[in-house]
Amino acid sequence: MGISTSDKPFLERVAEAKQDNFMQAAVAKAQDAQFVKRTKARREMGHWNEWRDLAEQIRQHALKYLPDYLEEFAGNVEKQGGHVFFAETEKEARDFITELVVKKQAHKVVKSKSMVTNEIEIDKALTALPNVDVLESDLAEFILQEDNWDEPTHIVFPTLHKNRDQIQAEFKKLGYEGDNEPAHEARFVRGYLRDYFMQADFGITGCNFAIADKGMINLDTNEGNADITMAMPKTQVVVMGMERIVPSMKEAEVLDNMLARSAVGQKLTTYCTFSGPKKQGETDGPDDFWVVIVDNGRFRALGTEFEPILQCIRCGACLNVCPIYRHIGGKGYGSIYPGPVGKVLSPILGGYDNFEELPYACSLCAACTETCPVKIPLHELIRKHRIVEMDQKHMDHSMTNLILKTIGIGTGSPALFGTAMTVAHTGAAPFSRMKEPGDVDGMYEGGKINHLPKAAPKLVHGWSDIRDIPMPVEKKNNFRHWYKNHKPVDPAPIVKEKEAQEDD
Amino acid sequence: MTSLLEQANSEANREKFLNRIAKAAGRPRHTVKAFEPLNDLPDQVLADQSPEELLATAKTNSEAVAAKFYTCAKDDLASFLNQYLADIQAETLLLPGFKDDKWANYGLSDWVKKPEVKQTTVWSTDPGDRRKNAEAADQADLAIGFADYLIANTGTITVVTSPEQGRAFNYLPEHYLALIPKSGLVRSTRQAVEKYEAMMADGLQTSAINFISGPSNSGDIEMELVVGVHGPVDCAYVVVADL
Repeated sequence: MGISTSDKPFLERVAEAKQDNFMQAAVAKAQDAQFVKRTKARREMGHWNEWRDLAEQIRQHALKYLPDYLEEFAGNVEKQGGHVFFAETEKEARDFITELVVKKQAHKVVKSKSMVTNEIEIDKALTALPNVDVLESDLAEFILQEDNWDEPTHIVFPTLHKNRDQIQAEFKKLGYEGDNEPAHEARFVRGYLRDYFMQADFGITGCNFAIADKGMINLDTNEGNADITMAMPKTQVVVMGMERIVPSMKEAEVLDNMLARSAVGQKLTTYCTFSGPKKQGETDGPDDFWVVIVDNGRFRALGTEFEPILQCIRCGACLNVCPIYRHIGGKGYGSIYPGPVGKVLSPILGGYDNFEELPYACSLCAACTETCPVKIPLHELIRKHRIVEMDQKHMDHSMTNLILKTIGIGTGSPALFGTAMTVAHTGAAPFSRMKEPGDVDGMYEGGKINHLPKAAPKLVHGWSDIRDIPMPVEKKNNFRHWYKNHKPVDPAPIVKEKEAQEDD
Repeated sequence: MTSLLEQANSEANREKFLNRIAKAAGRPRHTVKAFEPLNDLPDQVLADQSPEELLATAKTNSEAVAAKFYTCAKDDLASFLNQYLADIQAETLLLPGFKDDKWANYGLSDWVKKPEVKQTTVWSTDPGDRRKNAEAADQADLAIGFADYLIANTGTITVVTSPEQGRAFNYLPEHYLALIPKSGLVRSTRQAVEKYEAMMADGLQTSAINFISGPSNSGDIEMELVVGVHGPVDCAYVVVADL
């Protein structure tokens, strides 16, 4: 499965999402709330666009010299007694960590939230081992795990699609006896997970940023679970996407500020930690510190027009402004990376064949590009994916090309165009119905095309199934006719220029 | 089957990976140039505030992240801490394992010998006491520890992990109180980072630098903010003057 979260076809997933009213209301509420918080936090920071310029420059610099900074980072981890493994594929990363768990004879694995560990599906591999328990310690990830590893719906708020009653019902299975108050539910998880933390012998974390010149990792959380994951077990494995590198703590610090403001409207996450292997004399922290640096298809973006997607710091702001995400939620995308970032990243990591439709789940409104703290031109990259799919990979086997060529010929010839305008209304009549409930007043008095046979070409369905396409009007009412009959009789009056007024 | 674990830290594993990505990028290796930031915004944060204004800003921003904010003169600190223990009805207290000179610096040499609480545990600096320390931290109602800096712009305190004050010390107790010298008031995360970089260049050995902004919290259930999910349920900053 890799980054795929579903084997259902895209349109089926979208149809399911459209039925999920709670999810849609929750996503809309989250987007609106985050809009207010994010805007306030950024405004308070001042010079937001200049901060974005700086953040973009940091990310681009790190990518430009990626091998050099990774080499420096690995060297510094090794100098402190840590171990670094470079994994080209998700399988290598997964097998490596599995081997390590077996070698260490670990029984209680604890994890803190990390997208890349979802990418390599480490949970499934480790739970399949005999006598090994795995527990997600982030509250949301824990809720998903207890619901039979349900799919996340957002990269920052994975349980957006669940309500407090569903969570209460899940926790009851674990012995919770309280009400549906989030504070009480969270308190229960604190106790449940604390017991597990005290026994944990193997910790797995992600990495927001790796600090090249120190050989340390930088993690941002609000709950503190990542810090406890780094404190208690004697062995820690850090799993990081290879692009998550910065030269020094200074650049990480800039990005930490940008990340928190963009993700949750905070100035900084509650816990922002720079961490490495246990030092001599310290009594807790990882005796054994391992870093797995994962490529898993990222190299395909390097050196191409898609390279800017590797600037991403996983703040999720692009999801929070996306009108498509607002309607179909995370599950509609079928990738662990949903929303605009997912539309760009999923075809690169998971292949065009698996995520062919995602670049089309976009209105190209560019709200994502506008909000991105590291200035990834998301909507342009989404458009570029479409070009790759059409012109390079020729993935469209429908009649679209033929239809568009025919339209080109028709609109290029005044005679044919005139004929089309004359017959359009009558010709479309069998495929239309009059106004439907929910239609916007004043838009569809003439009816709309919404009654096409199933056998109609994909392009035609695309215009009618998802969009509202009005019926062409009768010839006597069309624009050309109207324009001819409404030419102004008198020329427009010339407006006299005001004489320059002196300033007071 | 060759063990993957054996490949960790091996030149072959590293070089194959790095050469592959360098080739994909079409850029030769070993050409890195120092990063030259295009602006100095991080240095400008709150640069126009006087020390008094900074302290007020720190208070506002700390309270905004639900931290309790206090300032206290060195001479009043012992009675302040006893009162705090009483207010939160703490029965078990965890203290860092620093030698007396650190406590003396805060005027707490006598207090540390007998805090007004039912049970006091001191973080053990014996590396064999990993388990003992973890259990003490888990059971403590309150930990009183030392922080280096207070960041005005974000309402953040910074703590380094040390043999005397380990990681679990800062994350497991129910309540957390940090003592910060007034001289540790800084403007921004940038300023704190620069100070740590300088300290590390001078030989500071630590496995973790922790930036903590208020108590542990989460909005994962219906985005309703809940305090105290894994770490401390509340967090107090005490800025100590006249050290």
